[in-house]
Parts: sequence; C-alpha cells; structure tokens
Amino acid sequence: MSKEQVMEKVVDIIRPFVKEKDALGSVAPETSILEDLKVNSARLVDIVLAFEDEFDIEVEDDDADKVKTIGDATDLVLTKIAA
Amino acid sequence: MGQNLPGSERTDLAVQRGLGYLVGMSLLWPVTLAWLKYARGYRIRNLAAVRRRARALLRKAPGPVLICPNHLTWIDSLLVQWAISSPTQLLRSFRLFAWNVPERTNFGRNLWLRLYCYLGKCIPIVRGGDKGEQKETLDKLAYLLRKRELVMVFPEGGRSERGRVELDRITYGVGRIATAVEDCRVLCVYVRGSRQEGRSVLPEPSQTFGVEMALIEPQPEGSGLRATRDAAMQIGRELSRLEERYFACR
Repeated sequence: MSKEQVMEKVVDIIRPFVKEKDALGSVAPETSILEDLKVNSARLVDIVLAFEDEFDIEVEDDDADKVKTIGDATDLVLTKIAA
Repeated sequence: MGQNLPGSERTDLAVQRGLGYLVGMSLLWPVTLAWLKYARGYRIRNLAAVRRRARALLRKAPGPVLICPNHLTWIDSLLVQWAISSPTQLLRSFRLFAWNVPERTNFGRNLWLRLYCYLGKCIPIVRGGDKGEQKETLDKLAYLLRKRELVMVFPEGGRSERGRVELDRITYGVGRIATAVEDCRVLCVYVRGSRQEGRSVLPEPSQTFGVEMALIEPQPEGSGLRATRDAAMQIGRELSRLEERYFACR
C-alpha cells in the first residue's frame, strides 16, 4: 500500500470525528488532528483503535500519544504495517 | 503506572495531604458544608442511608477504589463527598476525602480558588493538554490509589451537554487507571438535584439531591487501548444504569 493510499484511509477513519469539516478540504501531512481538524482529544483512542482494525496492526500507548498530525498517523501506520 | 513516582512527587502529595487534613478538615470543609446546606439550601435525600451504603460498598472493595460520578455542575465533587462521608468519618480517616482532578482553567484563575483546591486534595489538569503532563497526573492518581486513598474522576471529562450521561463523551483516562491499578474497583455515583434539567455552574438553590451508587469491577476485553476503552465504557454504562434508576425512583 502506498503512502498516499494509507493517508487517504487515515483521513477517512478520522473524518467522522472531525468537527472542523471545512479543514478536510485542505488536509495535508502537517494538518494537526486536534488543532486544525478540531477532533476531541478524548476520541483519539477510538481513532487509533480504528487504525488497528483497518490495517490489522497493534499500536502501543506510547506510539499513540505521539500522533499529532495526519502525517504522524500515516507514518505510524506504515511503520506498523512494515513491522 | 505510578509505581515509579519520584520521591519528590510523593513528598509533595504527602505535604498536600497533611495540610489538607490540618486546614481543610478544621476549617475549609466545615465552611463548605455550611455553604452547601445553609447558604444554598441543599439537602441530600436519605443522607444517613446513603452514607451507610457508601461505607458498606467501600468496605466490600478488596483494594483501591476509584470514584466515578456523573457530571452536571462545577460542584459535583463537593456534593459526592458530602454524600458519602460524614465530617466525623473524614476526621478519623482522611483517606475517605477523595483526591480529584479539576480542570485547571476553571479553578486555577485566582489564588484563593487555587488554595482551596490544593487543600481540598485537588490535582488540576488541563483537559486535552500536554500528554506528558497528563501522564504525570495519571501516575500520581495510580500511586494514590495504591496507597488506598480514594480518587474521584469524572468519566465524561466535562459536564454533560445534554443533561444526561453521554456515553459518546466518555474519556478513557478512567479506563486507563482502572486497568493499570491492580484490584481496582470503581464506585459509580449518580447525583442529581430535584430540579436539575441540564448542566449548570451551580445547582439552583434549595434542591434535594438524590444519590444512586454501585461498586463495579470492570472486566475489559482485549488488551492495551482496547481494554482501556472497554473498561471506561463499562463505567459509563453503569452510570447510565444508575441514571435510569434515579429517574425511576424520583
């Protein structure tokens, strides 16, 4: 799976939790999940678990805590897929 | 979580607890109770029975107890504390006065409120704030629980926007604590004033509060984040059930 494909799926997973829907139109690797997309921080666990289900990976707490941007999420998934 | 809390942090918590007992129990808590009862005119329905039940449930727990109440007003932690332990019990066993975790931006605004919170065993936190700071706070709470101190955390994070327990707003910090601390039980407490419709800063004056409680042992499925979420949702669902019981009995 290419990086672009993973990023597309990551955005699709995050989409239902996004409060700032307009920001989805210009999403990029540096887009902040909490600040730009206004995702409630309490929902990050749901997002990470959705990554686990979608990509058949396991994400440790420490790795999940480091995810701040769409790019971070994409890189995390790619790392876990490759492992 | 919390097993390796630095010595300096342990000392800080011990000092806070000591000062809380000396100043909080002798002055602040009696003044707070007087304010609740006489200035605001609040009552707790069947208070003696509520306290007997709380005592029985706490005795039933073999280990640490995390208190998880519903959240409608800024003073819910005061109401829960008033409901579950008498002043005499608190003087005899100060561990029954629960530590809690208020939102720093709500209570850190002025010096007197900060002092009140400090002496009231509060560990302020910024919701959605720095992850490192949040982890430190959870470590402190786990450490306190292992010392058999009561800790109170609101599973919904903030006050319910719709005036009812909102399972879609359950935050997972409670699940993380409940799964990390061995033998941890959760005392779910539902408290609501007779005229409380939605959320508010303070409940309207002259209300009678009903209290429902249950002690649960979350049995999460899976591991890691999945277990954390499952445990938190079990606590949330128990609060929902208590809410139904509250309205059925009203």
